[in-house]
Amino acid sequence: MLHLETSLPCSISVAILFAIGLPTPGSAQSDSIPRVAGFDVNRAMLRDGSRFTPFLVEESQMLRQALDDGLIEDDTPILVVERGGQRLALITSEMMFHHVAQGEMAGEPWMVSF
Amino acid sequence: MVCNTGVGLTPLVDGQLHHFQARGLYDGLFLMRDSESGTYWNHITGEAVYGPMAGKRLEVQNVLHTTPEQALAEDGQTRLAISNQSPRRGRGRGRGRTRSLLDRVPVLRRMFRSTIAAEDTRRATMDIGLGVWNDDAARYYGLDDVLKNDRVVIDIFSGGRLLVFVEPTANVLWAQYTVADSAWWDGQDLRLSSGELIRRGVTYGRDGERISTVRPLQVFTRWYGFALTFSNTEIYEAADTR
Repeated sequence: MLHLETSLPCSISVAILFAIGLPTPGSAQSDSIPRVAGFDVNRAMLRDGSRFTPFLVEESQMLRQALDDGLIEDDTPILVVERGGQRLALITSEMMFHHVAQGEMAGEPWMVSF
Repeated sequence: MVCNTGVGLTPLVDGQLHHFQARGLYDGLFLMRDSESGTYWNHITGEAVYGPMAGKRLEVQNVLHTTPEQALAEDGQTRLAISNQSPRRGRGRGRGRTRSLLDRVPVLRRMFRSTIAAEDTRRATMDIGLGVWNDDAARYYGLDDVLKNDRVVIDIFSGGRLLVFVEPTANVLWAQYTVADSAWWDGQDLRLSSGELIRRGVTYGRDGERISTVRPLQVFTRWYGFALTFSNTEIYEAADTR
């Protein structure tokens, strides 16, 4: 089974979380707000608040040690981002909760969206 | 996200660090909003679509969908960030509940569909594949098409020869540029007519030394999201290139 399919539970949680308190598409949006050509605000769902807490990464550990400690498995789906010759892994299932992670590596800011 | 699209971005706007959060839906994909300007951003292209920064773009990079086994084969110094907020924390992350749902038939829920004007119906909504793109072109390689060709195809994309294959360790579709004109499997290794070999996602030259590779921007994703994001998407037509 390909790892893409591990994202399926996300569709359920996303649907629930977005639905709670979410305005209907295009509601209460102003015509005066700048937008790119083709962006139809009437079918966008935009909200002021969010239950999706971004993952602000300030600490990390060696991936090999995490494996040895049983925190993850050999085949746990992960996402790997690279900056300045350094690599950082994020656990895919955790990104289904956060959707956005960001931090700094090798002195450079990075972000992953999922 | 339901579309499974992981993308790397640089969170700098006019040289200033901004902070982003998932705050909306559009075309069945989530939109990010930055707290500094309140602008909504496309999370795949990095384009600001609605708000004061509309029209600006974040720099986009690849994020590899992979596994610890493959990542460590590529770089033993890879580090791991573990969230203390995710409800899926605890030992054995990525196992259990997630895996028990592997066989569910994916559907795009009504709420997501309500943000879509018209789908591109050339492929099924939740079809799985690899989308690659640059400033000029976008192409989609359906997983089924790659599997039909023994898990590897070589194609010409924007003038470059592109190797698209199922990486067996991570079990995902990957793409990288190559000079080879054919490729074949030798067990779990992928051998190229140029004399190179790809083992656990790492490319080795004729002399057995690791060599660096160039990868186009790519996402292992669902059809609907890629096609709606890139309206010029071409679909790779399967042909036996071995």
